[in-house]
Amino acid sequence: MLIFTFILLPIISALILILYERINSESGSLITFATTLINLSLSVLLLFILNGGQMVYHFGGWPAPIGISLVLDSFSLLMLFVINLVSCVSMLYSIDYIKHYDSRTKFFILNLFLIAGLNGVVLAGDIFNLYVFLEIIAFASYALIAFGLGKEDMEASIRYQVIGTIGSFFIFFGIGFLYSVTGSLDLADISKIIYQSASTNRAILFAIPFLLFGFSLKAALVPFHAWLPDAHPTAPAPVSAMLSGVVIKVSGIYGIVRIFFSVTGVSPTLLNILLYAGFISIFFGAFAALYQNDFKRILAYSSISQIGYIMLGIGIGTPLGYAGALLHILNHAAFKSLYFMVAGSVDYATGTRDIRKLGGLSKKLPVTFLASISSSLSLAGIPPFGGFFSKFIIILALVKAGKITLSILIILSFLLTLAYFLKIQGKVFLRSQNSELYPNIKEVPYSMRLAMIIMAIMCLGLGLGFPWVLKIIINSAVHIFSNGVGYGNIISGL
Amino acid sequence: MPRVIKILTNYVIGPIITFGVYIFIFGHLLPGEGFDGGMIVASILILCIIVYGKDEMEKRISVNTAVLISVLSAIIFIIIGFVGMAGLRMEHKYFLDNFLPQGSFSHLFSGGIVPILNILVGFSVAFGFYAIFAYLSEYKTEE
Amino acid sequence: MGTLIYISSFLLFLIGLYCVVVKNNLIKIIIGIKIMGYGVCLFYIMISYKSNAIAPIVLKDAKNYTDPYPHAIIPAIMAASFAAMILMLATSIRLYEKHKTLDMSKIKELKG
Repeated sequence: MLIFTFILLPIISALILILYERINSESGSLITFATTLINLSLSVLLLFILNGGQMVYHFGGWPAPIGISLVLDSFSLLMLFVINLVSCVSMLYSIDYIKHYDSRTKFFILNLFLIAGLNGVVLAGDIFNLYVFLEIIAFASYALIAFGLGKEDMEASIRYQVIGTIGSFFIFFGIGFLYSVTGSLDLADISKIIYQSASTNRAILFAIPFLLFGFSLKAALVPFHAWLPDAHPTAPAPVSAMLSGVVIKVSGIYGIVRIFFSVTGVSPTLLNILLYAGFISIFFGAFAALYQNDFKRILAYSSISQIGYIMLGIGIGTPLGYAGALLHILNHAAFKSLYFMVAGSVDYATGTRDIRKLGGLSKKLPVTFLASISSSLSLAGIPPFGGFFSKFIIILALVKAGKITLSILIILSFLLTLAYFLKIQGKVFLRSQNSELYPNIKEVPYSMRLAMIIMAIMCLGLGLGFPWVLKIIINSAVHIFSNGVGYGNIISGL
Repeated sequence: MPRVIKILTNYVIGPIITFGVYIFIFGHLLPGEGFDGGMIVASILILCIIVYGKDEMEKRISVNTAVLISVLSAIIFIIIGFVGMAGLRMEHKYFLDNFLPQGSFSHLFSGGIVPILNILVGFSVAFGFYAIFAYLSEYKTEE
Repeated sequence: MGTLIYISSFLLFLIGLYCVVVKNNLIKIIIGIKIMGYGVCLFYIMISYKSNAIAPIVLKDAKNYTDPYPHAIIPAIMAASFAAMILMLATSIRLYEKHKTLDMSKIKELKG
């Protein structure tokens, strides 16, 4: 089927908007929202059609090792669903949020390129295409973080640019090693050649740390997280929602899984490294979040912590762990993007992000308060919200794999998560002493309310509909991990 | 800019633009595709902005024109891709199919639609970089 | 002799990385990033070389060509690093006019 629509439709809309920007520079919200809505419905349709198979599309009719191709398997489909869901709701949210900024058309052009790049990374069947789309994501997000043109926006953006470019160069170096060993750039072809070679070539062993370093810089695992607490808070709220909910997962975690599990092959050492890196990220993020006074900065450190959970789930090495990690990708995208939208609404209504100055907003902003309850309960892992199931599966996988001490420490980390979200809820919404500072605020406009309600229903629905989520989305995606390097044989057969 | 540089640039524009166009027209026979040729033409256009000043170049190629040509080339690229999909060659109905006649090996008019795509990419890249540089050079700091 | 050439491209990459990590001035950091980009491109050129082979232009009577893949990859990477450099320079112009300094160790608005 026409899976290139995911990439082409945002690019065509962006090109039309670039021409239209010369005429009218404050428009473009509706065409962007329509594009993301089409993408979302196409991805939901594919969810019901695909059933664990694969779809391959060769550009120009050239067969696989010669031509470039787009590959859609179940893990890509999960990521496509996450990307298009979060981007659709973000674009709905930004129809009204963007009224605080000018040059609005440029915002929508950059967002469309970001969405095209995100869809391109998960659909790429060619390692060089993966890299090019990764660069498109990076450039679009550098520009979007600096969109407000304030003092701290520029500083956050330059820091992210320098660190992100270094990560890109490390990935490119690793791609060079893979190319020099196998002679082809097609992901399925590289995986087949590595699978069929007698012993592990030393160049590949030398390439793995480069690739791991590069993708960890993009995923903000703990030694390489330095850009995230500056970059995510200063971006406009819908951009923060997309960055924290989707971009760090697509450019970091999808890259790690695709390159290491499907192409190069994992060894137990690599799994242990991912496990312990995730473990350190969880605690570092949770502890650092307790000391912050900026609403979105707490959420940014919380993102580092939750990405640690996903890495932990992947690093366990059993199918139950993979399922927990994938479910947590889905749940984290839902509740973290909702939480950033809540923070953006508070910022839109009151003009500040400092939680020491806020308080008592639960009466003045009722819809925002309800949405924040939904995302907080999902973040803390309280049933029946979705976060409970993913964390429970990860703990179960840890216990079954025999790592009992780790699982006890992870349960302690749940208490830390509870602590920092209670801090936000208490200081922003519940205490009453500061509410007289803001006598004139009213609830945020319609599109922002609608977006938050949709995402809140999604958080609850992912929990209540957990058996269906498992059956439709997660079960076939776990096969990508267990197939491992057999990916090449499966895709080349098509 | 000193007069010597302006005179030298007058002489040098012609050969360099010809060289850049040569690279992206013969892109299917030589190493170097539309992208490289486009960057060479972009570098000569940026040199013109530096030497002659932004106001002179605004009269000849304004930023609006450059953005228009660049985006139109990209849109024509995508349209050609869809034309290939409409099925001019019956057994291959793919995006970016090679549907023009493929002449004999190593002649200029061979290789299907690839030379046309090279030319489009070359224009897009060259005018895109020109527009970026023109934007940057008309930025005034707010003192 | 063969590995010495590869070591030189890796060394160039490390020199660029040193510049980015150690230096404080933003322009020097940007130059360091460009040097890293050149190092990686040099690595790709080294990959494509075969001894006693000619450049991959189609001629009538030649048998052994060097690898034509990097000829398509390297300009794309050069353009990507060029675009990254332009974006960084544009950001640093605005950074300079807001903070009045280009010294990265003094620009520390976001704390915590």
